[in-house]
Amino acid sequence: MEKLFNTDWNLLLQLALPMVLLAGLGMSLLLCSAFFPRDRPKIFLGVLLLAILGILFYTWMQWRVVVPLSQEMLLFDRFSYSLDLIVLVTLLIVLLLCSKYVSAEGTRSSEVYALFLFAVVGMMLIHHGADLIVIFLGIEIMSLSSYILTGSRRGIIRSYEAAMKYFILGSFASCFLLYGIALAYGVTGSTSLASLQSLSLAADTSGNTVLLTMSVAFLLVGLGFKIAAVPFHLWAPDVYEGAPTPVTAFMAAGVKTAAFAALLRIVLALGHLPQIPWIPVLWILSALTMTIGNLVALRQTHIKRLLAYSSVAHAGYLLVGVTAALQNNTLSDATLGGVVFYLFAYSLMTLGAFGVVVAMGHRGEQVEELSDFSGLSQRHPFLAAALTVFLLSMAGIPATIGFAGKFYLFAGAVEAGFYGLTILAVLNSVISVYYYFAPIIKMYFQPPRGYELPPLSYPLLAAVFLCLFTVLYLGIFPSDLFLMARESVKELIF
Amino acid sequence: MDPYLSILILFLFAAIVTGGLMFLSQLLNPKKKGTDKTPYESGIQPVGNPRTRFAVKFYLPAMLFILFDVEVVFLYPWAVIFRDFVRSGLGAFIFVEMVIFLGVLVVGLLYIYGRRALDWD
Repeated sequence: MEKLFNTDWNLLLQLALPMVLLAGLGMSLLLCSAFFPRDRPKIFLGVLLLAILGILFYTWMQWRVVVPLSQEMLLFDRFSYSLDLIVLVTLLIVLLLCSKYVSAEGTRSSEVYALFLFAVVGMMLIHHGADLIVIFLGIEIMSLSSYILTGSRRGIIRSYEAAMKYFILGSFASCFLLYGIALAYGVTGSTSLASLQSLSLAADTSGNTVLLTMSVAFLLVGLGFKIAAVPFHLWAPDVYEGAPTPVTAFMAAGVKTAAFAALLRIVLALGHLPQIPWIPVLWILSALTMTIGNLVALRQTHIKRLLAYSSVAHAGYLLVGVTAALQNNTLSDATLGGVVFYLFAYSLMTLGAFGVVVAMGHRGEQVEELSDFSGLSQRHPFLAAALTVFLLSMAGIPATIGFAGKFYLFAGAVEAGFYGLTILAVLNSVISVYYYFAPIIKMYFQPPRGYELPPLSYPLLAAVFLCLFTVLYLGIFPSDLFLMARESVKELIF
Repeated sequence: MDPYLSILILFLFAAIVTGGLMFLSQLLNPKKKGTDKTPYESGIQPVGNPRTRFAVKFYLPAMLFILFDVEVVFLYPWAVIFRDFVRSGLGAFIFVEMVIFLGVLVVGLLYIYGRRALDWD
């Protein structure tokens, strides 16, 4: 209770204002949908875009001035604000992408927008959580919103099926996470990251080794599900395929970023526990994730499934960075900075690629087979060029943000001495070039198929253009962003 | 005394009561030979099929009831610790906290009311 007396509520409100504002906006949208019989997607979209730009600017200002502060339940440092920035950019682009989808029949734009906002509030809670329970709450808010969004394609059986699969498997994973937290509490008597970290730094071996190992194993299973790491990735292709494409983009970029934030914070807090073989476990997890993700992606003919497996592979690359950051704590600001940079790079190129898939959609019917991309270069040169750039960026071709991201990530791994893992990751990148080129070859070297391309809306074009510009610009001049990423992880608190 | 002893006693008590009652009804029930058997239900003749169908309309109110019921349960622990907080001078804090929580619930209630989720037809 002394803690409550000492809490500076004004400061807390000032630091957590982005979360409070987003939650307030979400609730006002729900009230609008309840009491205004007419849905006005354009007005809602305009207001939301302005509000999110404002919140983005405010978060950026907070990133610049914040003094690391932990308040038992919530913590505020540059790392959490930089992840906030990534998910806010994701939210901005996804709202632009879903402008056509929310005006479809039977869907209320205000409800869809509100769910997106609530999911982002959950993600921010994960970034700012200083206690395992708060992180769990954030994960649940985010996941429940995305289950509903997955099933929001009215009257389409695949969408319902995907939502049901995601809900059941996701709840199961949450149980693992919660059991892991309970066991950690049972061994250490606390769920706060700060006390877990001090226990881990003290290399205290008095705790019950079996229970502690079980706890960490359950935590890794739960978090591994949320980031779609092999062998917990099997939900990803089905859910990504069945969900409305803007929602898929949101899950691939935002949900994965937030889940990685939780994983990083927990792994770095518990990383020195002498009882746990962290490095071998993470090494194997990352090697399996990128290899299996890439090998299965080779056989896909459905663009959303292909991108789903590619996102599994990218989770593997990110895990390389996590392993390196854990190994090399003295140099970790470059390594961990590489992970943050890659999260941003990955989010942007994934959003762009799914954006092009949204743009190809034809009168509600989604155009998703690879063969539908035949001859796109003649019918819509801009979309074809944009998708080419995003795919090249995912493959890690120079002059794109994907190359810079992989460079920083693998440089960190080499610095930490993981030569084998780095060689495996580079080999995997070479394999991935094969399937990333399949749509490109279809678009440029095959005759067009005879269906009419739907008219493109301005918000959609703006979103694709924004991603394209950022991917290219930051691909050519990545150093400022990388400096910012390094700055973000310099003073990590728990 | 071991602090977990009471849990063991509770466990044994539950096992004895459950097992004893099942044993007693096994001992006392009427034994019939042949095929015209009915399920034994405390000695009362069962009426009708247990698998009757009912309208799907019950689903929404039941679901919403569960949601709000579970959330309102938080009021009990709050009421229990309220006096302690007032005594230590944090009455305003705990009061405002509950008002915010209930405010969020009211938004949810207004939403389901406005979207006519509570209309029967």
